[in-house]
Amino acid sequence: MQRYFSRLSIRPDGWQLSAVILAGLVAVPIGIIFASLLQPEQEIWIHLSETVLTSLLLNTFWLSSGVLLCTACLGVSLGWLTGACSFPGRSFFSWALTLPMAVPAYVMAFIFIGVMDFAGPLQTAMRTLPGFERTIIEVRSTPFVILCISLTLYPYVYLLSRSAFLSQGRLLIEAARTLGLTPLAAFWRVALPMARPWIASGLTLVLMETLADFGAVSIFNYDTFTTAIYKAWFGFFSLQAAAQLSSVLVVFAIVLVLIDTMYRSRMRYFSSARSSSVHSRITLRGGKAYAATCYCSIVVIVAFVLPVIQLVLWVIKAGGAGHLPNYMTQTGRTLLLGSGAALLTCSAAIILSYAKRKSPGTLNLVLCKMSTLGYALPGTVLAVGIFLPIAWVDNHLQTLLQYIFNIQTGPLLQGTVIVMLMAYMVRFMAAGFGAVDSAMQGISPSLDEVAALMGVKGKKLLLTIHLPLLRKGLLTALILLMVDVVKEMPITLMTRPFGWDTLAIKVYELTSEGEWERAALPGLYLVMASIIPVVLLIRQSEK
Amino acid sequence: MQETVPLLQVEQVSKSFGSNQVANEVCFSMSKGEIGCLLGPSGCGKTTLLRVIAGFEAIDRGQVHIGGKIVSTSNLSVPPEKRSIGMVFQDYALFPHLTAIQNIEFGIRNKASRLRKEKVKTMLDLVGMTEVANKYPHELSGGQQQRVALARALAPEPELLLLDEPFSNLDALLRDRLTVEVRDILKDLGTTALMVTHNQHEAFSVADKIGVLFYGTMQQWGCAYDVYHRPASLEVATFVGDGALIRGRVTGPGQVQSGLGLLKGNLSLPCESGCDVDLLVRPEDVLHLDEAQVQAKVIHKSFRGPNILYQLELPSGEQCRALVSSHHNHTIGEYIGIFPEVDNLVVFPRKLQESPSE
Repeated sequence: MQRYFSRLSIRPDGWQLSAVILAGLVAVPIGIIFASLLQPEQEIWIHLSETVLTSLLLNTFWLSSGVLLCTACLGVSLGWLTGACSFPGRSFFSWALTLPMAVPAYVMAFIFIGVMDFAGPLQTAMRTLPGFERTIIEVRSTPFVILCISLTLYPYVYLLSRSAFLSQGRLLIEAARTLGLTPLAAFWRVALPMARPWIASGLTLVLMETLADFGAVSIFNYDTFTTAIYKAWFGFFSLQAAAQLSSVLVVFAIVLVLIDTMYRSRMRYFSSARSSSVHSRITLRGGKAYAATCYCSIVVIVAFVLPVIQLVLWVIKAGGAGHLPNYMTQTGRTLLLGSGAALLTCSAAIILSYAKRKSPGTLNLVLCKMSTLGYALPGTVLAVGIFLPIAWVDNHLQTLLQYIFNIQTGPLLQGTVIVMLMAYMVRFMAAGFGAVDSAMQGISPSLDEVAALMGVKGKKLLLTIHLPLLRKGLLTALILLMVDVVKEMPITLMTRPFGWDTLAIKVYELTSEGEWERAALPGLYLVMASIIPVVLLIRQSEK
Repeated sequence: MQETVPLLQVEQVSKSFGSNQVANEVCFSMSKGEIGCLLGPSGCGKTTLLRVIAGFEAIDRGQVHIGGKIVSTSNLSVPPEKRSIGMVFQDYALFPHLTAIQNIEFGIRNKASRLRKEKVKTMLDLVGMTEVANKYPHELSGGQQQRVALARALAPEPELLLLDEPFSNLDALLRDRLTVEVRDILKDLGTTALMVTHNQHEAFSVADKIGVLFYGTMQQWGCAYDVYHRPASLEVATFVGDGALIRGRVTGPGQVQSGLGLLKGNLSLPCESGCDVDLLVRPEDVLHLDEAQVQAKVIHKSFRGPNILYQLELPSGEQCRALVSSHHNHTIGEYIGIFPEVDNLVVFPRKLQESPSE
């Protein structure tokens, strides 16, 4: 027994217990969805395969491959230009190119449709041109969905590949050149292969986000698993069908997590110890420099500047027509939810990271890994996975209360903010844990030992040594979490208390009625709220 | 007169980063098969000079020739890949995504497969790394990485090999062994090589020619013996070895009167009688003899196994050091007899108002 304990490094203490509970919170929804995969309901599947399954799979396939291709091209090329080259405006673009992260995919989607739809200004203008009078471009089609989602997701690949190119430094490129490679050949043969783990990891994130996307595809009326799950639940009131569909996405998610883990473990070996120095960049001159500046400008303009301008124009137009409530309640709720979820998740991340630091044994590592799996789960799936056990607990609680106290209560947990916060925590734990844990790893273990020699241990150690050192990491974590929660749509939509509209929900409701102009203000609020954290993040990464 | 063209020729190269002049009219040349070394304190511009020769930095003035061809002028810079150079970097810069073999093959990838295999095998044998051929850089120790890096740089048979502080990341023991090994390998192959280091012992054990750089200026370019025993400037004299400077006055041809008594030998500079000079005294120039005339007080001592390095205060109040066999164990504060034994009197004319210091 003792040996078994030590092999798994089970050291029952408060930290480990908390880690077990947190891991359990994530494991339950995944487990429940997974269980429904293992007990397939014949009838539902026959019905699904007869009706929607083929088109769902095809749509998902085309969307994923298209978005992967686009984000890879955009992200890697931009990452290389700003990370390894030097051209006019580079330092501006190196942060400006991350701004599109602040535009939620669904906001981008309704701007796309609003501007480029048949009745929109672009096509109307096009029809006035000779020869194009009868041309109709279908915006609600695969290429446009791909473009729209890629423009908001490429920053993942961009940021990771940029940091890869930065961390490679000049040295290896110079080594390659002394071995007879031209700068371009050195990029293809050394820089790119070495950046592979980062690029792959960025692409995995992109794929997860694409599979998880709900808002953009529903605005485009492009059926994927996420919209099908929502329709199954709220359209046909079949939670079972929703669970069955979810299980397909869970399988995808697990595969992606495995791929991501594999590539991340390789990064360590692929980075060189020294960081780059000041005059290490490839200086682009003349036409090349001009082309680089143009390319970066176009991306920033198309993915960020134009969408924001369009939102502002719509807001002004709607304001002039007097259609404009100020959405203060929704904004307040969004911020409340964002900060609440960020604080909750951050505290949980500290607990996990601390448990791992105190006894980095197999058990704690597994618990940490498990607790952060939620990032791979689409919000719709997670909502189903959380709702099922909560409903079950609620039912039994009600029966129990009636049996003991003979009181009739309604559902106690369903549709409360607690469920929402829990769902957010599960979904976004990885972002918080990643930031907190990397900061925690930056604290040398010998500091703990020095403190222990002076009699500082346990909670005191955490308060006097670790928390002050973690401050920067915690701030990053809070910022990241805020953005994520504020932008989040499907979990909010599916688990919110009745009437609890947030900005994202308002966007969903208004866009489903084609009210682009009225949706512009909440959309703009969302973009503004997301910009602040993105800018803070950029500033922090540049320090 | 030497008729063959030098393999590397650096002519009046100047280079500055902003207001910081890192190379000032630097001149030197190396013939084929020679091993050169640029020595100097950190920040003296030696690495920049190496990078100029490699083609990574442009120059403001001057010229660099490799193998008789001009590779750098103020408005021309042949790219590094066209200069036929090999380079070993300070932290080796092995490609982390390639195995040792693949790293070595990298520079000869355009050769026929059979030739390539042969070459790789030769190189692996040469650096004694055959058994780790298929390992990745992160699986190799520092010394092994260094050897692979050397093999990689040598595989394309460059005309000139550049080494940038190649041993600075190794521990002392390994460093001593590898410096000798690397010199043997380079001499076996007849490779011309230029190394940069701040460690004079490395320079002494590897190089045929040593160039001492201070603030971008080449103070001296010569063999180890000259640099040590006939330093060309005060800076070289104090940077190389741990000599002390004491005041002296030239009293006749080949004679200097100083705190160590009257010294006779070849003067490094033609000085007239009555000239005030600073005299370089190396620890090994000061011998210990109990009955010697000059008695000096022991200020410090450090035991070094075979000998003891004494820091001594001369009757004149100046200090110098003496390297004495460790059988002569004296305590701090004791007076011991010393006498100088100097063949080459290294003297520098003393500037006014400047007290000699170490």
